[in-house]
Formats: sequence, C-alpha cells, structure tokens
Amino acid sequence: MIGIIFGVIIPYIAFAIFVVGVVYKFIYWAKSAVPLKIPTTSGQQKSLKFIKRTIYDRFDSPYTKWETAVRMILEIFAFRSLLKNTRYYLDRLSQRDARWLWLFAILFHYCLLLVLIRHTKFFLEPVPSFVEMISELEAFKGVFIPSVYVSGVTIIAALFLLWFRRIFLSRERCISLPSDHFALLLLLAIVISGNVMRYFIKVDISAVKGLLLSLMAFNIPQAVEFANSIEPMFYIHFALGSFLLAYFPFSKLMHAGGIFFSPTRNMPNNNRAERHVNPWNPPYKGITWQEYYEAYKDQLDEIAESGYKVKPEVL
Amino acid sequence: MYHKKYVIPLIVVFLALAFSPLIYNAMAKSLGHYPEITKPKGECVESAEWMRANHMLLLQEWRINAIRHGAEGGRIYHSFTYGKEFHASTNTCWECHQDKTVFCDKCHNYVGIKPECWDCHWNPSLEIPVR
Ligand code: HEC
Ligand code: HEC
Ligand code: HEC
Ligand code: HEM
Repeated sequence: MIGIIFGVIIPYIAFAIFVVGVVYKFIYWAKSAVPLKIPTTSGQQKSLKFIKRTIYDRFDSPYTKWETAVRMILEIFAFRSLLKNTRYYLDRLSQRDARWLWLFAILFHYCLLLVLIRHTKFFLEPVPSFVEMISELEAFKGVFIPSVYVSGVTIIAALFLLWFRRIFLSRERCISLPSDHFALLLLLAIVISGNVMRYFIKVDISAVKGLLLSLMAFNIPQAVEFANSIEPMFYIHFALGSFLLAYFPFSKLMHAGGIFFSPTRNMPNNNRAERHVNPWNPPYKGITWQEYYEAYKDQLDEIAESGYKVKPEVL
Repeated sequence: MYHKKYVIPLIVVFLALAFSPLIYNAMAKSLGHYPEITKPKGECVESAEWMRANHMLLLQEWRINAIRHGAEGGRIYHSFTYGKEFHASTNTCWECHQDKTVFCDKCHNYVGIKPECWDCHWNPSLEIPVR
C-alpha cells in the first residue's frame, strides 16, 4: 500500500504539478510588464568615446545583448550579486568581511548539482559514462563500504550552515520568514534521509531504478510490483523528494527560474541609446499641424503677427 | 505575454530538460528495463531480499571480522536468517555465484557502479593474461 501511494501515485502527481507549475510561473512572469529600465550596475556605462571602459565595466554594466548574456551566466555560475553585497555585512565597528551567504550558497548549490547529476543514474539506462566518471571521482572508495560520496555529505553541512546563518545572525533571524526556514528544513530532511539510506538503512537500489524506469514507461503493473518490494526507508526520501517537486514552483526555490526574469540582471544598460517604452502607457495618438492650428487659430495668428515664425518649415 | 522571443524557447528548454530522462530512455529503448540476472538455485547467505539491499554491508562486516578478528574466530559467520555457517571471505560468494559477469556485473552496470574489490581479490571471471 505504501508502495502504491508513495511509489506510484504521488510521484506522478508531483511531477505533473512541477511541470505545469513551472510553465505557469514562466508565463505569469512573462505577462507582467517592466515599466522602467532598471539594470543595477557597478561599472562605467557606455558613453562618449573618450570615456574608457575596461572589460569589467563591459560585463558589470552591459551595453549589448551578448554582454548581458555573459553577465547572466556569471551570475548563475558564480552568484556575483551575493558576493557584491558588502555594505550590509561589513560590520561598521570591526570591518570584518562576513559574506557568508555567498560562501554557503555556492557550497550548497555546487553540491546539489553534483548530487543531482549522480542521481541521474537512477533515471537513465544505460548510465551515461560521465555520470559514472563523476561518481568515481568524488567517491571515497574502499575505505568504507558503501563508498562515501563527498558531495552527498558536504551538502548536509552546507545546508546546516545556511540554516545557522538564519538562526544565529540577529539581522538574518529578524528578516527570516517561516518559508525560508521551511525550504531549508525540507532540503535537510531530504539529504539526511538520502544519506541514512545510503550508509545505514540500505534499500534495494536496482528495484528503485526498476521502479523509476517503469514509471517512465507508464507500465503501472510492473511499477507496482517494484514499488511493493522496496523498503520503507526509500519512501521517506522519495516522498519528501516528490513533495519538493510539487512545492518548488510555488516557493522561493523557484528563484532557479526567476533569475532569468529578474529585470535588474537581464536588461542591458543602454538607457541613453535606446528608448524603453513602458508597456502600460496608453496608446499614444498625436494630432496633425492642421488640427493644432484649428484649435489655437486665434493665438497662433496673433503670435505670427508680431513677427514670430509659428508654421513649421517642413511638414 | 512580453518577450515571447525569449520566453518560449526558455519554456521549450525547460520541458526538454524535464522530460530528458524519458527521451533518453526511449531513444535507448530501455524504458521499464530490468537486467536478467542469472541466479543459482537454493538459498543465499541471508534471504535474497536482504542480500539485494545489504550485500555490501555484509562484505564490509566480513572484511573487518576476517582481518581484525580472524584469530578469534572472526572468519566464521553465522547467517541470522538460515543459521548456517559461512567462511567470511570474498571467495565464499563464488562457491554458488559461479560467474561474476552474469551476476554481480549485470546488476552493478545497471545502477552504474564499479566496486574496486577485484583489483586485488580473485573472482571466477578473471581473465588471467597468458604469458
Ligand atoms: C540485485 C543487484 C545486485 C547484485 C546481484 C549484486 N549487487 Fe553489489 N551492489 C548493488 C547495488 C545497487 C549497489 C550500490 C549500492 C549503493 O550505491 O549504495 C551495490 C554495491 C556493492 C558493493 C559496494 C560498492 C561501493 O563502492 O559502494 C560491493 C562491494 C558489491 N556490491 C559487491 C557485490 C558482489 C561481490 C556481488 C556478486 C556476488 C554483487 N555485489 C551483486 C546491487 C547488486
Ligand atoms: C550458499 C550459496 C551462496 C553463497 C555462498 C552466496 N550466495 Fe548469493 N545467492 C544464492 C542464491 C541461491 C541466490 C538466489 C536466491 C533467491 O533467488 O531466492 C542468491 C542471491 C543473491 C543476491 C540477490 C540477487 C537477486 O537479484 O535477487 C545477491 C545480491 C547475492 N546473492 C549476493 C551474494 C554475495 C555478495 C555473496 C558473498 C558474500 C553471496 N551472494 C554468497 C546463493 C549464494
Ligand atoms: C588494495 C587491494 C584490495 C582491495 C581493492 C580490496 N581488498 Fe579486500 N583484502 C585485501 C587484503 C590484502 C586482504 C587481507 C587478506 C588476508 O589477510 O588474508 C583483504 C581481505 C578482505 C576480506 C577478508 C579476507 C578474504 O579472504 O576475503 C574481505 C571480505 C574483503 N577483503 C573484502 C573486500 C571488498 C568487499 C572489497 C571491495 C570493496 C575489497 N576487499 C577490496 C586487499 C584488497
Ligand atoms: C525524487 C527523486 C529522488 C530519488 C528517486 C532519489 C533516490 C535516492 C536514492 C535511491 C539514494 C540512495 C543512493 C545510494 O544508496 O547509492 C539517494 C541518496 C541521496 N539523495 Fe536522493 N533521490 C531523489 C531526490 C533527491 C533530491 C531532490 C535531493 C537533494 C536535495 C537528494 C539528495 C540525496 C542525497 C544527498 C543522497 C545521499 C547519497 C548521495 O550523495 O548520493 N535526493 N537518493
């Protein structure tokens, strides 16, 4: 029964919510207007020819689409805006640099990337060779059986550090919402249950893969058969994982997709060269000279009499 | 919807990524696949369900017991399911599982792992290079 509910029904529902939810969010965000051009920059804007711009300026204050794209890629892979956030953290008295968020975030996200890449071995048959290679590279083999995956253990530490940051730093504690803690605790529950399952309460991984492959083939009877043979420990991890999938589009975790929509990051800083039209503006309809002249005939004639030129020269 | 030029490709890329395992497996024709494992008749050291999930822990226990406590009888392992006695050694497995390639390897390839034990330990499928 546990197998059917948490192994077959809930994963399908969760995946459907995830896909529909993310697409819905993308469309929802794409529908909202950007009234102003608001790229936050920290470099010299492109201006007159004699004002020099270094390579840093080009990517900190991008002018073309390609420069913007490079800035975006750096943001995604190096979290530069977290690193730049010095003003808030520099303690006025001691001048200690405390950009913990950047350090912990980068630790967590790269571990997550490695864990998720290694997890594809449960989904892909045959297992791609680079997935096997990554697993081999980061496994401490032979010291302990089952071999210890470095990223899988580090991710627990990284999540605890991120959480301690919210608990022990007074300013962060003050601005943390329940949902901030919840996201961290959910991820912690997932990674801890994953590690417990790997090192202590083992489950039959080949049946797990069989289950996932039959779910993908929509072969329900076979999936039910596999699902019933897997130990309950797996369903703690899998149910939490499914819950994460379903929760993802509607939570702060959706920043993974939101980064592409953030106007401060994805707009080139070409305010002076290109006009940014606010899409909220009512459609603009001008009037012709003739209509204008009709409307202010008396005044215009009066002005013209005193020797001023009122009629535009080219029409 | 604004910026359709960028948003629609983004959605397409997302959908392709979300369904990439399905596409990958469909192209490899391996949907719902499970390897054919050649099993001997009879009973394993412990019950087959337990072995499928825990055989690596068993081997670890045997390794520790044999190497650290071998003189005090650590080499003797009592099966807790069947109560039989086994000699704690990697070679014990080969008494019944006589071919590594159709048993251990089939399953390990399926889940994408390569235990390094056979760099040093003997196994029946070992190809001894002819001098
Ligand atoms: C039903 C499938 C299956 C069969 C058959 C099987 N294994 Fe495994 N074995 C696994 C799985 C799955 C893992 C990996 C578990 C994990 O990643 O934690 C594993 C892991 C191991 C490990 C630990 C590797 C490591 O680095 O963590 C050893 C050692 C091992 N198996 C030995 C054997 C031997 C020896 C045989 C043959 C007598 C065998 N296995 C047969 C499924 C199987
Ligand atoms: C006494 C003979 C015997 C010995 C020794 C033995 N096995 Fe087995 N093993 C079997 C039999 C028989 C089965 C099939 C049981 C069944 O299907 O109910 C089996 C099944 C298994 C399975 C489950 C395969 C599956 O897909 O269901 C694994 C894993 C396994 N053995 C690993 C090992 C390892 C590792 C060792 C060495 C520590 C070992 N066995 C030693 C006889 C043995
Ligand atoms: C670097 C080479 C090496 C590797 C790799 C290795 N072992 Fe060993 N193993 C040894 C040596 C040396 C002994 C000690 C043999 C003795 O004292 O009789 C031993 C002993 C053992 C023993 C107990 C004695 C026996 O006869 O089997 C077990 C069980 C064992 N290893 C399991 C494993 C497993 C499982 C793996 C893979 C995860 C593994 N070993 C990988 C070198 C290795
Ligand atoms: C919903 C799909 C998921 C499935 C089917 C799944 C399955 C598994 C399985 C079977 C293991 C045991 C690995 C082993 O014994 O070799 C495991 C371990 C683990 N899982 Fe997951 N998992 C899923 C989602 C996640 C997510 C979303 C995360 C991260 C947030 C995660 C983090 C971990 C970690 C850290 C481990 C520890 C071992 C390692 O590092 O590989 N899992 N998972």
